[in-house]
Amino acid sequence: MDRMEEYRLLLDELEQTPPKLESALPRARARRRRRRLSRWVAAPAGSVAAMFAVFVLLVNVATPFAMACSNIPILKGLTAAVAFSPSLKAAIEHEYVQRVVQSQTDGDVTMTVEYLIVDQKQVNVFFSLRSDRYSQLDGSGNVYTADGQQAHASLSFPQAPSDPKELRHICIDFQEEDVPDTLILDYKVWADDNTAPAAPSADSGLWADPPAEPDAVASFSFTLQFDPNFTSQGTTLALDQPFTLDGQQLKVVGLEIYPTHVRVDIQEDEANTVQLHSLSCWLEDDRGVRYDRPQGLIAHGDGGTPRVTSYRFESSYFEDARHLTLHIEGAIWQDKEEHWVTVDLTTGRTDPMPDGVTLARMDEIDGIPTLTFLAPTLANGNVFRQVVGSTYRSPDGSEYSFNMASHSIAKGENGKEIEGFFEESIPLIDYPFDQVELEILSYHTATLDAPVVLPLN
Amino acid sequence: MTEQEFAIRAEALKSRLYRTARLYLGSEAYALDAVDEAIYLGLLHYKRLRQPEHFNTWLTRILINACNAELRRRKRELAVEELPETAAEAYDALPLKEAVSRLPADLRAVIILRYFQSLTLAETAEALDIPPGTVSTRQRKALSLLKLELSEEA
Repeated sequence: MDRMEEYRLLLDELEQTPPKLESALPRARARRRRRRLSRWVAAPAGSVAAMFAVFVLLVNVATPFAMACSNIPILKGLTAAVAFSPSLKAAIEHEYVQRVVQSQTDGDVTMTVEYLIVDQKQVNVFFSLRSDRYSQLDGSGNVYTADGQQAHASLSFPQAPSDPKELRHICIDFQEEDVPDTLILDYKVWADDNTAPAAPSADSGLWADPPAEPDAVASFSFTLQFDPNFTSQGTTLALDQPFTLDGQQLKVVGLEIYPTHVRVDIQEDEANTVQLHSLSCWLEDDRGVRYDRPQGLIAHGDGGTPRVTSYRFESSYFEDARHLTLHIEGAIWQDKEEHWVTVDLTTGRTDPMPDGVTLARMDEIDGIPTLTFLAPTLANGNVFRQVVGSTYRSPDGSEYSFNMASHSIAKGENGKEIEGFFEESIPLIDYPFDQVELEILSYHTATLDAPVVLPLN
Repeated sequence: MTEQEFAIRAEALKSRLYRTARLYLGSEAYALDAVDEAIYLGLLHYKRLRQPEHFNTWLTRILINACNAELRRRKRELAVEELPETAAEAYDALPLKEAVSRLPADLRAVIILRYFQSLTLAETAEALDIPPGTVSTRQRKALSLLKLELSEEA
C-alpha cells in the first residue's frame, strides 16, 4: 500500500466520528449554565473590589479573654471557640446564643452542630467532629438557601483547633442580603492522617503538577433554622459625612451595628487620583471603649461606582454606647496609572514588573493555568494586597477577568517563610492562549500629619 | 454573531474539529474532550469574535490551544516522541497515522490543518498565527517527510 492510499484510508477512518460528538454543543451549554450559576453565586463574595480589600489577614492580635462564661457549663466549650473574638465573646456573655443540637454520622465521622450566633448579616456555626478512626480532621463547606440555591455569602473557616475535642467555627457573612430564616450547610470532612503525601513531580518544567486532593471521608448536610428574634437584630444609619484624607475625598455613608460586628461604609470620590486600598482605623464609643478591626473578614467592597467599601469592626452592640467616633490613622492607596506586562505561558518569561513583583511559578490545576506572583507586603508586613488587576487580555485583544484569587505567606525552596513577601495566585479560567497581558497594580502608604477623627452618630 | 449562528456553525465544523483533535492527540476520548473544550470556550466567547467570517479559523485555533494544553498535561502519559526532520527513513517505516503523530509539532500542526481539516493555506496561517510563507515551507517539509504527493496550492 502506498502513502496516498494510506492517506485516503486514514481520511475514511477519520470520517467515522463517535456518537458522543453529536452532543458536544448541548454539553457545552450545560457546562455554561453551571458556570453561570457558580459565577453568579461567587460574585457578591468575589467582586473585584471585594476580594482583595476583603480577605486581608491581620496580625493575630491577642485578645485577653477572661473566662467569664466558664462557670456556665452549657457554654463551656463555646468560650474557647470565640477566644479571639470580642464581639462573639460579648454575645455569649449576654446569652445571645441559639442552642442547636443536630448530629449526623457518615462512616467513621460524627458531626454535631451545637450552637449558632446569628444576627441580620452573619451566622456563626459552632460544631464538633468526632471519630474513633481518625485523629486529625478538617473540612470545608458551602451554604444554600431553602430552595437549593447557593447563598450569597462569604464563608470563612478558622483553623481547626489543636485539641480535636474543641468546638469548631464557621462564619457565614452576608453583604447585601439579610440572613434568611433557613440555611442548608453542606460540609465535607478530610482526615489528615489518611492523606498520602503527593508524589514529587517528575516534570521539572514550569507547569508543575498540583498535589492530589484527598477524598472526603465524610459528607454532611444540615438544615439550620434560625430564630427570627436573632435574624432581625441590627440597626442601620444612613450618613453623609465627607472628609479629606491625604488630599483625597471620601465620605462615610453608613453605620451598621449588629451583635456580631459593626460596619462603617466609606465611599470614594470618583475624581480621586488614587484608589483606597485599606484604612488603618478603629472606633471609639462615648465612654472611651475602643473597637478594633476583627481578624479574618475586615472589609467588603460593593464593586460599584463610586466605590463603597464596608469596613468591619468589633461590635458595640452589647455596650451602652450612645455615640461612635471613627479614628483613621493611616491609609494605603492603589495607584490608578496602569502598568501592563506580557507573560509567556509556555516559557514563563515576563516583561519587567514594578515594585519588586516577580512571577514565582505556573501550575496547572484541574486544567486551569494558575500563575503565582511573589510580592512585597505593605504596612510593616501586615497587609497583603491585590497584585494583578482582575481584567487581563489575550494576544488578539480580547478581555477576560477572574474573580477569585488566593493569597498566602511566601515560602522559599527550603520551606522557610520569606519575610516581607507574600504570594498571590490567579487562575486563568477558560483561557485558550499561550500568552497573556496582565495589569500589575502599584500601591503606596500615606503618612498622615494627624489622625482623622470623625464623630459618626 | 448570535448564539443561534454560533450553534449552526459549530455544528457544521465539529466533525472537522474532531478529526484535527484525533490526529493531534491520538485517542478518541482525548479528542472528544478537546472538542468539548473548544466548543465550550467558543460558546463563552463568540460575542468577542469581531469578524464572524473568521469563525472556522478562530474555533480551530481555540481547539489547537486546547490540544496543546492536553498534550502538556499528558506529556509523560502519551510518551510519544517526535522524530527529527532528518529521520526520513524512520518516517518511511511508520504507518502514516503514526508518522503524522511523530512529526515535529510545528510541521504536524500544518499538515493536520491543511490536509485533514481542509483549511486553505491562508486559513492555516491565520489559525496558527504564522505567516503564509511559513505554512508553505512547513507543509513542503512535512509532505516530503511523509512521502505524500498532495497539492501544495492554497
